[in-house]
Amino acid sequence: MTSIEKPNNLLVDLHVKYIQSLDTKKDDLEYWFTEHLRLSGVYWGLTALDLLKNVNTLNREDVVKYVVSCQHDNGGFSGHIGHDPHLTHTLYAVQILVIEDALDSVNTEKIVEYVKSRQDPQTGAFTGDEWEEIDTRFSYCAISCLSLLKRLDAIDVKKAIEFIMLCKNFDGGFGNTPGAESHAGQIFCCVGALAIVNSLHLIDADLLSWWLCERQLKNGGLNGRPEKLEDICYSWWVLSALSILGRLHWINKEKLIEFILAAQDPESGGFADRPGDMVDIFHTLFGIAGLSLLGYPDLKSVDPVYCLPKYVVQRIGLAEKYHI
Amino acid sequence: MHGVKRVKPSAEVEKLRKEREAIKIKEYNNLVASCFAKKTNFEYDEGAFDITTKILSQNPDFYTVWNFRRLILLNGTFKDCSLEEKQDRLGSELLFLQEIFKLNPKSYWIFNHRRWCLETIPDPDWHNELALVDKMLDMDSRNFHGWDYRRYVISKLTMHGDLKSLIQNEFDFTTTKINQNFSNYSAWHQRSKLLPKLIKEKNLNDQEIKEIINREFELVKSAFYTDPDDQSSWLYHRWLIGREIRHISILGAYFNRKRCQIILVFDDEIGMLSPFQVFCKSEKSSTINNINGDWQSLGVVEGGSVNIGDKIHGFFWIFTPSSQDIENEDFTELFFTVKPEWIVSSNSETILDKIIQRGCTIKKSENEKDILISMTSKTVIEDVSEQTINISSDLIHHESQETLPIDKSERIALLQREISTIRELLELEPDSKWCLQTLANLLREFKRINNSKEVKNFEVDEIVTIYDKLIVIDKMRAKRFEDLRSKIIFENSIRRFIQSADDLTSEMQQILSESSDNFLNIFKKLFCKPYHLAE
Repeated sequence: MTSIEKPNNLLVDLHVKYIQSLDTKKDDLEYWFTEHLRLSGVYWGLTALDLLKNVNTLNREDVVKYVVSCQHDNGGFSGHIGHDPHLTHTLYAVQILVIEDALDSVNTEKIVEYVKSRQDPQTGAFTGDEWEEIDTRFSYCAISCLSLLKRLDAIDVKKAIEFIMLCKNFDGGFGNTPGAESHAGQIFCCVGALAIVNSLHLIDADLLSWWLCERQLKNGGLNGRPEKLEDICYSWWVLSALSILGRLHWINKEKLIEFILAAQDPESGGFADRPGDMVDIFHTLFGIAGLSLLGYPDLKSVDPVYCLPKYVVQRIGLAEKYHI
Repeated sequence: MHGVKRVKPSAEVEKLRKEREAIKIKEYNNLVASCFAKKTNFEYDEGAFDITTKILSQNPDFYTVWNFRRLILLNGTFKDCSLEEKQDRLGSELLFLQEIFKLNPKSYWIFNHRRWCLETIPDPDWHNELALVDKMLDMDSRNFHGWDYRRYVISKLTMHGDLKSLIQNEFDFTTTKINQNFSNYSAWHQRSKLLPKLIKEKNLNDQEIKEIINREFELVKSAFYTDPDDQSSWLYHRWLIGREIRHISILGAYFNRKRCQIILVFDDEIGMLSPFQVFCKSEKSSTINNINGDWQSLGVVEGGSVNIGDKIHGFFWIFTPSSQDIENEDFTELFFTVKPEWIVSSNSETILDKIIQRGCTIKKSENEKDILISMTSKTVIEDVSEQTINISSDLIHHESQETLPIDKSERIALLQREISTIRELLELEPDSKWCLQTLANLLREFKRINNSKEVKNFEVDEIVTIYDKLIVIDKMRAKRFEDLRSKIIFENSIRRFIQSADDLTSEMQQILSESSDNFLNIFKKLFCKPYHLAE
């Protein structure tokens, strides 16, 4: 028996190979069970590869063709071909197309219509799909998506902000709906959305950043709520919010880098939720994006608001609206 | 994958697994294929329904299949059925959900479907749902799906019944959960939502409200006495104490002719999100032009030294026009605009609630003598930028004392009481970081609110000492404590200056007349003398 190996440097080549190999695992049941995450998987993988300076590993033409095939008549995108459209998948599609500089291959006006139709004119909230689940995640999806398409004028931004503010809590954080407990993932969504619509002044920055930096545990990892376990994806949700609020230095960067690196699979590449666990593409992106925010060498810079490589955001002419 | 240990099976084990899975994959893919075939052909029949059952039992995150299942029920099953049949059918649907919930207690889609069932069923049993969610939270008292679902069930019960008893009921539920485990942050959170509602609903008089709040202080005290390292109770305590919400205002705005700079003095440290706008009117034409330039703040960095030229935070903001914008510009009037959404306060408890606009007239003749011109609130041009988004301030702040009917002297007494409570605990737990930082917060607030002459420097010294200790104790967050220490030092010296200046304009005038080449250096000297602790 060997003890679990804990890598202490970034295994770039292994990660590229790991991401490349994902579409070849058709003899795994898990591959089929996660079919509804195929489009999001492409976004996670492509963004990770781009940050690793290997964006061309995936064939651009194939990627764009696949994304186009997930669009529906109502303008929305589904998690895979033939599945039902949903706001989260619509954002993933737009993010992929922005990375590939291929927005012209879809009908963006239809996308705008779809996103617009998801806003409740009364409350300003967004629903994920026609089954009307409400969540601040969807507010972020809508605002980020329309901002990337430069069509924020299509929705009622004031109402959207008011709904997000209804989800603010006693600790300065945000929950998924009014009354819900603060959660790092929702905080990323709400802070990101408010940053895009120039409303960071509505955030209790000192109080929220305090709560966020208390997410760091002794082992360097970050949890998403008090008294919970650490997880690599929180190194993204917590870090991006701290970075937008200009307080990234409030956590111990060295310890976190150590923790993220230890969650790599030293044999087959990829990142797990924490050291010693099974890897997946979701945690692989957030491990790499976290390292990028922490200034780890040899990675492209990531934009904390859009979770896209910074150069991509600059290329489409969106200004940085954060680091207060 | 969340929480699944990494194992590297041998090639042989892997081969066996793949053989086993090959059969399952084939079966599963056949199910999915026939499901999608029926979906495409709008076949909303029992055969299709059974297929969705088989798929979802294995894979409850397959959202499209849940959607199809609902369509089958709506467009097929419920087409020609009686209310009783519909009730029965959705009743078994709820049982099915309970079964797969056991395997996947954290699937969003299971909860979504459950809500849909209850909103569709002719006679929903919300009390049963409440009993169910009780069980759920017994199994995992922090499951946020569980808490979300509880709030949802309560909102439904409220719609159908007695609102009053439920708020008290839910408040008591959080007490139970907290008594079971003081670290239940979800329960403390819920309490922060319920307490203001409870007070409002019971229509209590001031004395009764104070009694309720004091019982909260007792509860939270017993929590942090039990476990001083548990953040839940400390964060609730922070909220319970609350903060005075103050409005930021501008103390002075000046135009320095010699340097062609605008200097703004705020009564609190602010950060800039978007540059404040500067305009001028020239002699030749009556049109108003935008002036480009650079804003710099006098802020604070590590160790209490002043930070110049950064756009982070500052009491003072200095605007220097780009040279091409003012050259040959013979302007007669100067204006600036600061909007609430362009700034962020560095102290969470302060807000800017309205637009600040000021301006001044510049007369050529007074050139050399009058270096400093005070800019007053005169009519300034109409807004040239995008429309301001005004968000109601009660959406921004969530402080307990908004429901707490106390005046300033009572607040001072409250702070004093809590300070001594924390000091007592600190004697038992001298290295508790939560205890220390709570004390620092309380002392800072106490110093601010108790602005009288008796509160001298010693509080600042004590606060600085606490932060020095925290920097050592809590290495993970040392930088935060360094920031807080710098801030209190800087804030203290700058406030002393502002308060001691009888006439800020003449005080500023004096600084400027003393200034040699480096105007900013003068500020540095004035406000940031090296800080020494009292011996």
